[in-house]
Amino acid sequence: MSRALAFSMILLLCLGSRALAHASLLEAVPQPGAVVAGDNVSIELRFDSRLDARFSRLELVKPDGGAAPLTPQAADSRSILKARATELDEGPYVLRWRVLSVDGHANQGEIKFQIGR
Amino acid sequence: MEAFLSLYSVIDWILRGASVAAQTLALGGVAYFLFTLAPSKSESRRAALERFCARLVFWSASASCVAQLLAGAALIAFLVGSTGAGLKTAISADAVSFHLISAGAALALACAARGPRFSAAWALLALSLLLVGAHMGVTHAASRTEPSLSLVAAEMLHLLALATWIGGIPYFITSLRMIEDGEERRCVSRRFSFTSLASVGVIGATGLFMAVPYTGSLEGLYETTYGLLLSTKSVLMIMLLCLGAINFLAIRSRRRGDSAMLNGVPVIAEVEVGIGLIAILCAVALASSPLAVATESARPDAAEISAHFQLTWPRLESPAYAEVSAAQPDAAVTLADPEIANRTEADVAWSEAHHHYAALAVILTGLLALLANSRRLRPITQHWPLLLLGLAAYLVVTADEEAWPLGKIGFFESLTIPQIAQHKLMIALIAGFAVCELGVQSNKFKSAWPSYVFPLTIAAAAAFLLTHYGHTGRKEEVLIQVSHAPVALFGVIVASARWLELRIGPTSVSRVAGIVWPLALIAGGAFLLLYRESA
Repeated sequence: MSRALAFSMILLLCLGSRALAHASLLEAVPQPGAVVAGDNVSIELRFDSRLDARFSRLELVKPDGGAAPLTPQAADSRSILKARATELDEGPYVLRWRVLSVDGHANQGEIKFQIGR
Repeated sequence: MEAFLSLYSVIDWILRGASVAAQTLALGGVAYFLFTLAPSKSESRRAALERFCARLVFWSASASCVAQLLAGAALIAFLVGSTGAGLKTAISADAVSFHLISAGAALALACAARGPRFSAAWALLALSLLLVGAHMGVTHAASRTEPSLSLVAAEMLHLLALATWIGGIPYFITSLRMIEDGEERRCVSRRFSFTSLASVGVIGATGLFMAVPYTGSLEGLYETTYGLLLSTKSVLMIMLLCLGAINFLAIRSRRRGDSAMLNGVPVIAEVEVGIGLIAILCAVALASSPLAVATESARPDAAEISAHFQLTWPRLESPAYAEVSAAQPDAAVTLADPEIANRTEADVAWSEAHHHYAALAVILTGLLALLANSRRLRPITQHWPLLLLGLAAYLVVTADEEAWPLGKIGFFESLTIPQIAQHKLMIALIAGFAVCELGVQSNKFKSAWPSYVFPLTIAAAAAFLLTHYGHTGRKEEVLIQVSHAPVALFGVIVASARWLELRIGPTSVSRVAGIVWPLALIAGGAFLLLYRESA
């Protein structure tokens, strides 16, 4: 019996799953696919969970493929991630985000948008 | 480090599952000691039962402590590796703090169980509340945008009630085995029935209270990964209730002088523990899934879901391998994620056809196992595990067409891809238990344990099928989850009925169980025949 229980525990531990973490993005500025006028962009991402801001990151991939980290700004709520990107050239951009919710679940994603004149 | 980062969510799920399971057992022991353990006529028996409770609480609380420490350490490594944060900063993360507090509370409970004052009720209660309270820090309730005290309280009560019921069962089984006096056994059974019923009431009420804000609508229960996991967990709880009711009736029948059924109570309770463990793993998967209310996109509607269950003739003709994407010279299959490649019509037809062939093999296995109950047909039909061996060999070839032996990715190379590695592990398990069961059916083993490989493997596979969603966040994955969940639930029935048949001894219950599990296997295969990836 004890062997059977040990076997079942090993099986269950072997069969791990890979679950998507649960800090889901609810709203994004700029929206995915948006064309933004001007050379500065205010970024605001709102999640469904409170975030541990010290471990949340924003990164902007430029039209030439180079990536630059964005410095998060103070936000009104712990579920909002804010930043400002300046001196942007015309072209397609990818905003990559990576967040950690206070309950320890990490999540990441990206938003594609365009700078137009 | 890269490998660790990509596997982090799997490691986190395993460690959270282990810590919640161990915590449930530890708290169940405390609740059992405080509310169920009846005064005994024999001082020495009472002392032996107390010692058993203290020992199991000690080991399970220690296991919970280790799992929490490892979960904290894994999170620290993940944060340092993925964000470049310093060690000190990573240690100060909110979730790490809660893991460490939980580990401390579990350690204190383990020490209390080991020490001479295990019977200090107030200390046990305080440490139990501290353990559950610290665990709240890593749940949905704590991470809500606007933290709600009522949701935190509901989650705490939910966990405490679950532990009182499911975590208390191993202590109850042991009590029944240690107590010889009929009157005392009835007294313990009555008390445990009462605390279980009260716990069920609390689980139902708090579950409903949390489900409303977390799912948002009735549709959220079947259109999202979170909702489907919640629905599945509810079905498992209903199964547990049915088993609890059978035990309750068995205890009542004993009062009328019928002792036959009472002997089955510990075995049914063993099945309850197994299903309870799967329900706990579902709960851990729930805690890692996006809330249904926050899942706006990636939702199939009711029409798309019902189309998945429409009775259509199974796809029995597979396209040639040369037609599928993996066989094309410019196949867009990458080692990082083979699912990235856009699936063509041929890919979908290939997958559906091979799912349906596997379903037919499962149905045939169930039929043969059912016929093995007949003495006349048994000499032939007892070899039904051979069909499963054939199925395993067939799956090695067809399950992952992009990998060895058909595809371009080599065997060992393919094992580095989590999805393919999981499939290969499943195939190895099918082959392993088929070989074991072949020996069991032909009475080749003297020991009983090989016979348990079949139900335990099926139960583990069912747990895997129920909880391994959320890879992509795509609508298609929710539809696959919709197809797989009933198959997995039939798997739980197969495992439970086979366990009962093996453990309960030759009674009418074991005969019924011997018919139920092949029927459930056939039903699971029939559901797999409905598997669709095409619209």
